[in-house]
Amino acid sequence: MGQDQIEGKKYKRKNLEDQILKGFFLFLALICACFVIFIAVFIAYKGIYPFFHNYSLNINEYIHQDFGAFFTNTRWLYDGTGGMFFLLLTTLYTTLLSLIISVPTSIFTALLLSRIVPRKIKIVLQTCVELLASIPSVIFGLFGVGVICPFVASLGVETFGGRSILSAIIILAMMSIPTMTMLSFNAMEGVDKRLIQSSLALGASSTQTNFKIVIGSSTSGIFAGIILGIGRALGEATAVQMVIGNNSLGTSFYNIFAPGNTLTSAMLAGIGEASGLGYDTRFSLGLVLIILIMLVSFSLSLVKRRLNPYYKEEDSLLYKLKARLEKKKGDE
Amino acid sequence: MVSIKTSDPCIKKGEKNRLVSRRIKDGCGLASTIVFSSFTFIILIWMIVYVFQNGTSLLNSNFIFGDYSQSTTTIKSKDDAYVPLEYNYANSSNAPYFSSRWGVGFEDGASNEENVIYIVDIEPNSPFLSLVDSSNNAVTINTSYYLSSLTLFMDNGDINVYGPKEGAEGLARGLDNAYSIFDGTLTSQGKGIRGSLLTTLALIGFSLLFSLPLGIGGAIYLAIYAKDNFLTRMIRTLIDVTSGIPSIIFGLAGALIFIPFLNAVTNHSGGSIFSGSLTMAMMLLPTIVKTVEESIRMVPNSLQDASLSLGASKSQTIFKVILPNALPGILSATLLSIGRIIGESAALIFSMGAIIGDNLSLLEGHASLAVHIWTCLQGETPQYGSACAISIIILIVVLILSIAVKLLSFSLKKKKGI
Repeated sequence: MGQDQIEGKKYKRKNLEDQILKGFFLFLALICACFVIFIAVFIAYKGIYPFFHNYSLNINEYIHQDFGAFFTNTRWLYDGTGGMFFLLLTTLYTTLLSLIISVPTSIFTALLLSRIVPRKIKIVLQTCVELLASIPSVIFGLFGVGVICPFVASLGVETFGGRSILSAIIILAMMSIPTMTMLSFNAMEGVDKRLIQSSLALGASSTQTNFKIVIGSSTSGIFAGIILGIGRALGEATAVQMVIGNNSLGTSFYNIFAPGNTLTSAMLAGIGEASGLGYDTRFSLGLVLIILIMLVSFSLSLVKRRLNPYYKEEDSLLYKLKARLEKKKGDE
Repeated sequence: MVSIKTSDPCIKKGEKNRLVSRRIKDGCGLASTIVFSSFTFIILIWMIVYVFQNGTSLLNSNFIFGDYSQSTTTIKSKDDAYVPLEYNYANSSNAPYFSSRWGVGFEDGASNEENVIYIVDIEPNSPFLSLVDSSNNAVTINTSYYLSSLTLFMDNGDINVYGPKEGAEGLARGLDNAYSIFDGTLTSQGKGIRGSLLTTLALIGFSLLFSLPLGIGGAIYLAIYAKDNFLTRMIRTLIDVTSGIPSIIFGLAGALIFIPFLNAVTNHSGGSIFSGSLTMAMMLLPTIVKTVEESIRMVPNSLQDASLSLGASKSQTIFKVILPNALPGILSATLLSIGRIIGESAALIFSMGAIIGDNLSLLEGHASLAVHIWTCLQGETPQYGSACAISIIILIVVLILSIAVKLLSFSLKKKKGI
């Protein structure tokens, strides 16, 4: 055997090894990607299951989750006629009201960090915001039960020991502030320095520049932060469940001083004792939550695309669809 | 000329007004910025102060290494053991109330809203250490116990009962005048977090064991092999979607996928550390893939080219050149993951269980530290003290981790800059 042949064999073996390794890494990457599909399929299956499976109530009585009642009933976890629509509404409006607190706070905090304070203080404050972002939700819940609930109870309105939707709103706002602040801050740091300098050179004061130029040109980044904050607020479970009071009756869901219930808190409350239908309908709620988050983030990303200063009508999905349809018509 | 002269002061006056109103507006803007943004920092400081104020007093070795469950023992002196009057022990650890005849120190305290007397100090060779239970078996007594009541044989022949009403002071004085203990109830303090601490450590270990190889492998594929085609874009999109799923959904999925699977394999019902750590691994993957991929991309191409041109195969290049150079990124992904595992509650409540255990067992799901806090605050009497004490531990760990990650990224940037 010649030297070349041996080298060639070595090369071939190396090549085969590389191919196998590449396949192996591709396999690992596919596993990483497939988990989300598994999650969606399993929860969709288990979420629909209670509507068609009969659970034994007594010896001769069987129940299953009623489909109409699931959307209309104003009581959660009640003998197969549990309704979730008020949970959905509470989830949505708690998140919206929490934005009223968190959006201005985080925009102003980001502005303070990026434009007002000196460099050394900026690093300290930035670390503070990052620390706040890394505090686990259960500690926010503890703070809510220990500080926010007594505060709400002391407002002079009759509450259930302070456990109310208002407490949940405050906690949600607190939890989404760091995310929003960090994204807005990054957007504000990215604002073109020449824009700021020309605004100052034209005679605008530094506060005018901050408000009109810096905030104005980082709208897209701020909005990205708001989307992330909404996502976190919609899916937040532990902290909300600890402060909201877990009211399974939905007749007073509009009263922010009364105890309420959201999709996530309803899933989590009393999980230790749950079994049978009571356990399985939680997965239906999970399915509703997934669909809600998908819808909200999809519609928000459409809005975000519109907010982009470089947005063109030709790029929008609707425009493309229309163009394709017209092209088809033209072809015919 | 005339027209300018007459209008000049008017213009100046208007200008001055405009400047004043602008200054007021600017002041308001700045003030509102500072007021709103101080809210963010007030929250952080308030949370830390609250947690430390309520938790520091509880944070001792009995709390960290003790059992959660309480146990009660009946104690008495051995039948023929009398403590002579001339016994005199020194109060070496400065207990608030000390019986020098028995060599034992007490303190008033409360447990579950009920007044009790804590044993804070037992001197070596104290007759208190030779007490027995009702069936004459030796009892190990240490400072993690408290007394609900103690019945004493006094020197003057009386039999007196001491309890929380007499307090630690009364009990210490009573013991000084007693030669034997007739009967007493000893309760272990409980409320310890040893089980949850061990569970959390095991959870961290197994979650990293499952998620790091997967995540690093996926990152290597995406950073080195992947071409810009449909499959790659699909993998990226799916991983991005995974990072947006709320943790409670991961909990539901973990309870659905892993618990039945593991129950079938191990013949054990309910959640376990394995099901919890597999669920956590699912949650951690997007972070690990993204961080590691970024750090692999930061490895200079010249290194890779040099290795390949020296005759090394691609696999040798990956394992001996690229991965060692991407180590800071892998390390920071690990630290981020640890922080997330320690703080996670909703997913673990579903996939591992919320029952607080005392001992580590891999096939039984017990609460982790964060879930321990959640369980402490459910129910009629929330235990704020232990919840705050655990929060201190979690906060300190999270603080150290986030500073470490920051330092790592600084060093990485510096390296790249040079």
